[in-house]
Amino acid sequence: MIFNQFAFLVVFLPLVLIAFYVPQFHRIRIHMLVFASLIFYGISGLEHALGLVASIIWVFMVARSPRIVGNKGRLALSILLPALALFYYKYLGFFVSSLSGQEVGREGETFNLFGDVILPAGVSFFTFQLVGFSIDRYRGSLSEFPDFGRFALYISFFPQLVAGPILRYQQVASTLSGLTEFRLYPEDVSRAIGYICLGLAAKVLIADTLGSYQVAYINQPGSLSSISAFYVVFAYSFQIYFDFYGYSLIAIGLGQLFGFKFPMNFRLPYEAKNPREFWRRWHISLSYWIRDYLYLPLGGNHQYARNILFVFAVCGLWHGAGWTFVIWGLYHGLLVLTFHFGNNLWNALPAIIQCTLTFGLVSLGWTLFIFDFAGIKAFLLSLIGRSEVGVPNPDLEAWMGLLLATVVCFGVRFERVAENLTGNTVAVTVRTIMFAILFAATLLFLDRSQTFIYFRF
Amino acid sequence: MIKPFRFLFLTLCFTIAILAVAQYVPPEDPFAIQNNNKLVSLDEISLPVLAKLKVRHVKSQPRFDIGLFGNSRSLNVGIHDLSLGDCKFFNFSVPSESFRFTVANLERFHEIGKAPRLALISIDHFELQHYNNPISFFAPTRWKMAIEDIKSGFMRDEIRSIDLLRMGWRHVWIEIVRFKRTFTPATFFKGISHLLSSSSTFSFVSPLSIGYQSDGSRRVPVPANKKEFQTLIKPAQHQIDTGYFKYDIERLARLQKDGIQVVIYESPLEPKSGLFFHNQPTPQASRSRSTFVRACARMGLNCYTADPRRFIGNGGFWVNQTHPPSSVLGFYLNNLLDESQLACRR
Repeated sequence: MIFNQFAFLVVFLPLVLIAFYVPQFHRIRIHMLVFASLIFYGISGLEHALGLVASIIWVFMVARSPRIVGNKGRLALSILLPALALFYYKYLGFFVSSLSGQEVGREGETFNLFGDVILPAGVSFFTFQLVGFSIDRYRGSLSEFPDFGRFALYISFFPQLVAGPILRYQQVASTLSGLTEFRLYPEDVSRAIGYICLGLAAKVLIADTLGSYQVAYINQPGSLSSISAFYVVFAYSFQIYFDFYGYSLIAIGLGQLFGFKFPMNFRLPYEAKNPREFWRRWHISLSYWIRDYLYLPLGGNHQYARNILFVFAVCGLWHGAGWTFVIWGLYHGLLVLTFHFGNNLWNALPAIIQCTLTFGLVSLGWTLFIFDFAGIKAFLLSLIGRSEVGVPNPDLEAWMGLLLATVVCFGVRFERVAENLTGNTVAVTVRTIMFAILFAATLLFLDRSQTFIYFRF
Repeated sequence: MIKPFRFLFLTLCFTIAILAVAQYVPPEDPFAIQNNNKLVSLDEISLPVLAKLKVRHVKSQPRFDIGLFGNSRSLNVGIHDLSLGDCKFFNFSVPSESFRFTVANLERFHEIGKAPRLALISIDHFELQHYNNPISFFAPTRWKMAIEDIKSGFMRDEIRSIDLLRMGWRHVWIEIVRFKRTFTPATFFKGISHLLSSSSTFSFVSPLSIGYQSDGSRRVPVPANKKEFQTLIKPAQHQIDTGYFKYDIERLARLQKDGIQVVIYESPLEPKSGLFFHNQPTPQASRSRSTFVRACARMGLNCYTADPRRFIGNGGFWVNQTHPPSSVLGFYLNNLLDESQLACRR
């Protein structure tokens, strides 16, 4: 199930909310939410839900023993099952094809060794959460070890199950402890409405609209004019941003309704002045996870260049099982290193140029998410005007869509809009009307809405 | 701070406003427009709006002598395909609808005194088991019908409890389908364009395009090549609720008692499939057909099952195996009309 579905918004969410706030169910809230989350996840494939349950039980059983603290063998045992599941579902096809030199489906999502394997939604997200928990337990940095219900909910809670944010147990421990007594206040509901409406609008009205304009271009990367290729670079850049950012806003809003305060996963990433800053603003929970569980254990800044290239290659591989994703990661690693070694030169540029340069380079990099190597080559030739044009340039409507996305991206502060207003009745009324219009418009366009891009990661 | 109930109320208001715009019925009557045999383009219009336009046209006209009721399988039959004599004809068919819509639609026309003197009713071939509740009615009519169905489910012995439950679910389902079909960007923007258009709402298309004629029928250009179907149709699973089916036929019998001559015919299949399923019908089709024949006989209605031998050798272009060409169907309907003894045809 996904957030941008009628079934979720009109049936699943209201039912779960009712069950959560029925006084008789207060004591079993945690179990009820775990159950609801498994339905949420399992409705699109029982096998995947069973895999999730097996991973949760495995990590809980292994990590429960205090002997895991400081014991690398037990740590390895703890992460063995989720890592194997991740490898099987996501990387085995890529691995086999890389060794055998045979083609697999685009993005390595399917291969035919043991029959078709379909990638479970969000497998990388919850696997990283399971691994992070195991490492925290190994390090002895958990202040308390949760009971099974809390642990299962921490991993499987449906608002953040399939696309993050990747949480540390410490971030939600107190919420989980007090969940049975949690009371919803009007301010929470107000904020949740704001986040959910804005998130849905970002996804359905902006990201999906931009996606619909690019279909013809993405299918024929070698037949584009420079203008069309330029359009794809920036339209996809905004599409992936509003897609993932929209998801994160909805997750925050949904979390609020159940008492969870999720951290922001984005902080105006396209306003970053350099590639390093970009990674402190984009998918923040992943950046920090990689920093704390990979980069620092590798030695951190001691072998800066080697470690940066390694962690960015891993970051690329996390996004997708394919060499284009690895190249994308290395590309970002190189951008960060270029900035690191040439920051005097970079910082001497005017701020607006720094931002534009960063945004342009990041946007160019996203094309590795769209095409395979042949497609990238053809697309780059189109970008520099070296291809035979066969697809008409974007029409006015498509350019207006891009312009709207640009204005919203750089001109609207979503968090500020979602936060509560006090006192000013007219402003509150205007905002209520705006959210209601946005929500109704989102419902109108829901039917043509696509799955979130980050679900496949 | 945003008050949740105020937000929900406003969302509901905007949703209703969008639905109202999407279902906006233009004031112009496309079936009253005559322009040198040109066809009116109604393809982008939603089916409920098309149904409403037909109702409005019929209301504005003197009572028709002959009306053809059904869905896309009968929609293409027009005055050119029939021998009408002096009879006034209108095609009441609305795409996608099924027999239940026809019955309720005819009842509505009868209530306002505009039902045709002779109602030719197409019922889909029983191998298709096409059995839906009406989608094209606007809300009060749909809900009234739902109440009637539930009431009759409790009162009539031949309607089993399971059929009553299925019927309840059918009504819920149709509401969901109706909402999803109406609440779309395309219908909304079409409604906006109709609302804002200052001149004629409907455009004309050339006779070589798909368009509607003033007799309510749709004209579809005939491709040059005839299609030979190599495969048989896939019969559908059991769908027709026998109890409700009898109830619907009884409603038609009531209308016949009130002076409307009712003729029901089973829409034919393309000859290859038609012959095959004529000889080897599926159990569900046999059951539905025998219910149909027995109920009609008991209530004195003229009902005709699809005998493929009547449709062989008539030519015409079958776009698919379930939509008869208008010439083929027209020829068949003329035979049925010959038996009807309508004064205006003599």
